[in-house]
Amino acid sequence: MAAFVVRRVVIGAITLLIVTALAYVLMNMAPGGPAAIISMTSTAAQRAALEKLYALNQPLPIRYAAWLWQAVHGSLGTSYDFQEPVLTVIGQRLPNTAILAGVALVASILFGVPLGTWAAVSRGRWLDQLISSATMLGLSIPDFWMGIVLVIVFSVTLRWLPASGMTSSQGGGGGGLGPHLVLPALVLTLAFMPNIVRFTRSSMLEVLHLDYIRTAHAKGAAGRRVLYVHALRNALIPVVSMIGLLFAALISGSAIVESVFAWPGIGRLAVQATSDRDYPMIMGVTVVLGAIVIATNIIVDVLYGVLDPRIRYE
Amino acid sequence: MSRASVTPPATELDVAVATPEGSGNRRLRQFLRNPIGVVAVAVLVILYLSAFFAPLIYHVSPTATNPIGSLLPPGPGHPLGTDDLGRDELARIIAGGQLSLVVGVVAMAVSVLVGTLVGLLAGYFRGGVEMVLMRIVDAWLAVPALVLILVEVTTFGDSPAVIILVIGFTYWPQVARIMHGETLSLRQREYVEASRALGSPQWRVMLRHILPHLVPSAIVSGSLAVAWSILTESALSYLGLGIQPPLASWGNMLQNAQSYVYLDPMLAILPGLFIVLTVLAFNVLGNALRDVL
Repeated sequence: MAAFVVRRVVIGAITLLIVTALAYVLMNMAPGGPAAIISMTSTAAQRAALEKLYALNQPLPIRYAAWLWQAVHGSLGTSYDFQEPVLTVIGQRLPNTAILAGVALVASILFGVPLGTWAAVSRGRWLDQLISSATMLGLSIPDFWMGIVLVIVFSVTLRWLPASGMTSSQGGGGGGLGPHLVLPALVLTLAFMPNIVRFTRSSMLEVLHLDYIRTAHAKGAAGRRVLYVHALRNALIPVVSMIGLLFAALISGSAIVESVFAWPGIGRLAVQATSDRDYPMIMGVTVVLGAIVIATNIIVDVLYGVLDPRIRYE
Repeated sequence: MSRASVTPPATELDVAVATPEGSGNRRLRQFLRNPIGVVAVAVLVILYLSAFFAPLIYHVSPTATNPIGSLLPPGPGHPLGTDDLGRDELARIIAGGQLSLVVGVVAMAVSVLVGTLVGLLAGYFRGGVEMVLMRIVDAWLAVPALVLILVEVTTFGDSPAVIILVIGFTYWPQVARIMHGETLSLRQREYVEASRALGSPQWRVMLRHILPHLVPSAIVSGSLAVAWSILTESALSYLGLGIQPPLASWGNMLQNAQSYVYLDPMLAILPGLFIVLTVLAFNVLGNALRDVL
């Protein structure tokens, strides 16, 4: 077990290293180099000065090595936009994304697992067809458009909920975090939950075919008990591993939802950094998000073995 | 091969494995029996035909602006009204459709080609090749797709050709994972071992005995990849990082629409409905194909 965890962590670290190298090389392939982007009208001398300031005149491998050396020592450089350490800015934004993505993840599991289970149990009947069709529709609606439509309905027409931001500065009623969180969290949940419903359904269908379920029925166990105690417990194991794999998709979705609702999270930060060509920030966001996704997957893998004793770690 | 012929009531799996290309007719007939799949195909045919042939009938320019005719409601001359710059909404929906529909298909081709190649090589050769390729796949999947795309767009710019490539090169690891798994199970089959035992060269075993069996999975993945690519292009263009104005795409039409939701909500709703319709049709088609192939 300990050996397995160590091995997964080592592989995770190598994966993260590949991520940083890929991102670094990709960004430095920009025509004219990063300095050309800082100002289009800059003279050659100004460019040279800027290149010197940001150490852009060194060869690529040396710059990457320097970046990596700093990163290992806890610094991801200074943002061009904010003129503040990249990690400080990311640290301020990360909790906001955690709130949004966390609420959406919990809500997706809370509603998605029962829906998937119901669909599997009533396979082929109208309830299954209803849930499966709704799932398919959910997977086909762009999350940002769903956000705009909900703003039209709940903010513009009904005036029930704020359309953007995290808190309102004007004071008065409805300025708190709660009302601001409703629409973004709803959109992210509706975008993410179909994955959970779909996967729970297919996982449950697989388990329901197994011999031990028939045995449980034959022994005379009550139908509900067989379903929720015998079947669901085993069906949920692959769902847990799926959530690990889908975590990256949740973060992508969050970035878009944050942009629609002007939610000051890390995803919106990434989008802004891209528009402004804030290279250290883009690099920083990529590394931090990559590390979070990799760590989540390691935790999920370990959890998998705890939930399913049949899995043996070599 | 012999199993299918010795025991006449062969299961579908046996037939599919024995003659991957010979059973095309049976599969087509099976597909045609599924009304939902057929409707999806019809919807897609109509969407593609109208995107490319409507301009022959409808001659209004999608880029001509008109400052005194902005945000007009639907009426004579402008069947769907005009946007914030007075451009004809219907003409932009048509032009946007051309771009979005082509981006989806070409990006899919890129991701399916690269993904199948990588999955096939990793699964067939195992060992070091597999180790290196699948680690790259893992690294690619560890970065949220949108962030990866942002990095790529920062570097390569935002021309339509770049957007297509970037979207294709973001989705391929998903395809590679599926193809890797399939190849791993295919190479254990007896007929593959038999071919190797007979001394067939490696490339021949791969191309003749494994690749044809990957085609059904490639088609299903491809259909879902188009759906994903269209969704991604629209999100990217909505964020202002994809297809750039004055070119129209269904995504970038929504970019400004959000500022005018109070004045003209229809502007925000119409392009989205077309995205949903197209993506839904490709997702439904992918599911219907999976049931048949």
